[in-house]
Amino acid sequence: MSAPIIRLEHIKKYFPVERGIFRRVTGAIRAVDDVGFSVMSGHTLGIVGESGCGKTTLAKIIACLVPPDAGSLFFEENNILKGDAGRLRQFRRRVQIIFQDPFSSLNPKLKIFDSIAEPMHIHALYPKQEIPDRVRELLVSVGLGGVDPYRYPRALSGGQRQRIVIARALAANPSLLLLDEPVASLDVSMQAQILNLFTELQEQFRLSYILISHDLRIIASLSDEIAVMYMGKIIEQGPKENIVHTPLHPYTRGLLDSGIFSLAGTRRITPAIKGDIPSHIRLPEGCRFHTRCPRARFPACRTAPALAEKKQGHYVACHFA
Amino acid sequence: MRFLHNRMFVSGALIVGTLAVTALAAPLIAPHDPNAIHMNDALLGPSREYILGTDQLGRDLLSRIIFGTRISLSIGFIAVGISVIIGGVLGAVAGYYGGRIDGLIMRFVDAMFCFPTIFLMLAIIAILEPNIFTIMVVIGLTSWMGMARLIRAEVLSLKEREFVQAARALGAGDLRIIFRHIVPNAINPVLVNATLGVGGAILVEAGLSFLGLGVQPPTPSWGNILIEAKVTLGSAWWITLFPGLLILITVLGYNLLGEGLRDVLSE
Repeated sequence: MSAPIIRLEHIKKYFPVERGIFRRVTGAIRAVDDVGFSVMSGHTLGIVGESGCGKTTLAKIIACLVPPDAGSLFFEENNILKGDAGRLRQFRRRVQIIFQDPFSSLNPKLKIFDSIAEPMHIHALYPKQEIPDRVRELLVSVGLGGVDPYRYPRALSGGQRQRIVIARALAANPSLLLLDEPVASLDVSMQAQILNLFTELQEQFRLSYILISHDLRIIASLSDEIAVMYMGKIIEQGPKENIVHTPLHPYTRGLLDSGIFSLAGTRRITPAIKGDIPSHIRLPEGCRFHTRCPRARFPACRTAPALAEKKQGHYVACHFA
Repeated sequence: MRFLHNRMFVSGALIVGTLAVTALAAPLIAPHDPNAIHMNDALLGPSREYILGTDQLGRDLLSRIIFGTRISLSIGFIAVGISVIIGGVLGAVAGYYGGRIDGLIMRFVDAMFCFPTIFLMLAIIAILEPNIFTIMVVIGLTSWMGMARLIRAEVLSLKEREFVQAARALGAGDLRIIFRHIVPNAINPVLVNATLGVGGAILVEAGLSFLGLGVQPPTPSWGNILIEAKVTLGSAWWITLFPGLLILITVLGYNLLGEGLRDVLSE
């Protein structure tokens, strides 16, 4: 068994809720509430959840763009949050993040070449004269061998821009890519191409991925393991086959039934999961899902269920699973 | 070129360009020495010898206006330069670092905005000697607040943009992020506002000179030509009309150029 490349323990991020002119703190939004997992080297972890469940905050914490309020982040068994500047710099080279919107991910004032070369300059990876060749190689790797690198990104389509963004991320020779909704703003035909590109690049560069999406179909196409987030917590996690075929948590089952996976013609009119996400400021007491859960029983659901291993490697937080 | 298709930009650029050339080549263009006194020719109307007429000391009005262009333009440019530098640095620091620094700087901006600017300028000039240099500095020091707010707002929105976040995740330092990713993208609105600001600064200078607190005679500036003409307003209309017209055209030119720039750059 290979070693985990990244491991999170008890990561928490609460955003204070302020009221009135004196900015009194009256509560907190628990964007990420005690999340822990690890990703094996060369594997892909998919994190799925509705909008507002804390996925993007979690991605920013892992990329060290937002400091967590509590918890530890280990990269190859080194704690990154301990404040060692040299280690953080290494981490910033080895871990890259790709955002949802390829239009705002590229500096409009930089030529394609300069955007892709920037990581090489920051980390002084190559002698200056080798950089143009490296940039060309990267463009070929992401399927843009025919694009003139001395142009500005404004002339490119969304899919081409996202390929540039991927090339820039690869320029630092990373080991782990954080993909935060990487195809959500692309049209469907382009989505498939970019997802295939991720699969090819994973083999070519021996990458590990953390893929974040609201769309289980996209998650399932790329992941080895899937974690399901609901209101800042992981409520189910396990190998892809288990999550897709034998989900244990009623929320996961609801996501799978929500029309995306059902065959044409059998698509439900009624939503699989009823109601809206409850207020993040006043969380439901006990199990956070009980307000929408078809199997909620009281008083059992008045206490929060812990994430427990129900099958080999398959964890779930539900009293009735 | 998309710049050439914008009428406002082109007409503004023509006016501003002509003025700039006039200012630079003043000694070559001016038909007379602007300070040479010809008492026999005092208060002559426009004629072939004195195209725009003469003032009460018989000095050639056209030559004085041409040399006045230098004063007005250099005050406009340098005053705006000072306000861009102060406003730029303070606004960028406030926007980029945020938190307490931001609060402190922006409250200072609010306080500066509360001062009646004209009285502040009068007070400073009353203490210091009124000359071109003082005027530039005083106008610059009292007009940077709008620029600071503008730049802060730009930086605030840019630093949350994904390409800036991506650069930070790449390990880029603050200086690289500010100068490579934020400044080049914040420059357009600053350019537009600075252009509009030059017109404003020229007006303020004319106003101060008119009050006798600006550029001191005999150095010709559009404002002090106007005040000297005040006495003879009833008999010698040309001495007030031409400098006034030129102030109007100049400010109009900068405003057209600024508006044109805004249109072209925001396409």
